[in-house]
Amino acid sequence: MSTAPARLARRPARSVPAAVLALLAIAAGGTGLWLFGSFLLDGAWPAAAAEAVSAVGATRLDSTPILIGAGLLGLLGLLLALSGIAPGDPGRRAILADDVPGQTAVSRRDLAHRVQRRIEHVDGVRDARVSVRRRRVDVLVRTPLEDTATVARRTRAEAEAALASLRPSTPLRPRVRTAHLR
Amino acid sequence: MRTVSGRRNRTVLVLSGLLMMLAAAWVASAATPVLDLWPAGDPVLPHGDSRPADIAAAHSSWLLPTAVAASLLVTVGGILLLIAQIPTAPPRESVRVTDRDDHLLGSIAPGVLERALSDALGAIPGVTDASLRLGGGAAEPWIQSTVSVSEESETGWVAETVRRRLIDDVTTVLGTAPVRVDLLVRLSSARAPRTARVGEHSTAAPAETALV
Repeated sequence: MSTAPARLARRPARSVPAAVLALLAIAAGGTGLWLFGSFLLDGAWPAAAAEAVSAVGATRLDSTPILIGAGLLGLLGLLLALSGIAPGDPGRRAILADDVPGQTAVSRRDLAHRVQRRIEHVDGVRDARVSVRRRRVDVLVRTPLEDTATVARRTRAEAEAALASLRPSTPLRPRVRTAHLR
Repeated sequence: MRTVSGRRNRTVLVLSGLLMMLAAAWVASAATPVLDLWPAGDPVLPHGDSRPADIAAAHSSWLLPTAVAASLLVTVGGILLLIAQIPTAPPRESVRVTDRDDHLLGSIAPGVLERALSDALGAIPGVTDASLRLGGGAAEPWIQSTVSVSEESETGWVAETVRRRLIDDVTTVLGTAPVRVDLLVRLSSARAPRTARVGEHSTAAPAETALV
């Protein structure tokens, strides 16, 4: 077992799909142990499952129910494999890089809140919503002013200043959209 | 910080997914003309008119024990995978303090040092809360720290000061600089007020008060 801690800003660990896979494995394996174990020990299928097992055993492999089951199994396998391959968006971002070994990181949510609070002070902004993507920050501001272009320009400048103060290791480009309040 | 092994999860997901797709493709091949195109695959590929009961009867000598063993493996594997989703932290050991001749002078529980170091971080302006985890022993110490930074402070300055302080303090105590310092910064952000109040402490009209 490694004694070094994991990096702060890393790819998602995919705990949810892994937990789903674990539960499916326990269910499938447990059912198999019950069925095959009973047949191995008693020479017959369990009474509660005998009818279902006989029905499945008598079904042709090229029949529609079998093909549907195979299709669902293949689809599930594809989803699981893709969830393992896709890098995903890290929940934390490395910021303030320096010459000290190690990382300084901030959560995506804190980063979005900080940018949002700075933007809310911009003249003309009624409220703002900020979400942090992999390489950009999406900002939606609502303003009662008619001159939305000026509000967008000021908002972009404030967002860039907020991001510059934190110096994210992966540059984040703000994308600003405005909505006029009537 | 407690974490779950992402590398292990992703490896299991990819392998399991590929296995499922392979099994599905094998079953689905019974409804395709694969055997007509590839007659050599007859011993391993299923026939469209085959039934699971017929296949089981033809290979009963080894198929049933294999199915039981496979079910047991899958069940145990699922239980282990589920347990592995519980976040764990890397182990820490007591810090052994030695003299120049490598004679043991004493040992310090990691928690004692951690409390002292986190208390020192709390004295840094801008830090509202701090906690840390120290590991790697006296030979190659590493630190993972979490600090909460107030909104009014300069985050970059606070983070740099915290990291420098940790390096200096650990070097002073253990005689070795930490090999790694990870810092998680929690930013507190208060909501901007929606209204601005002018002259609220005066009973006179705000405009007249401002002109005086």
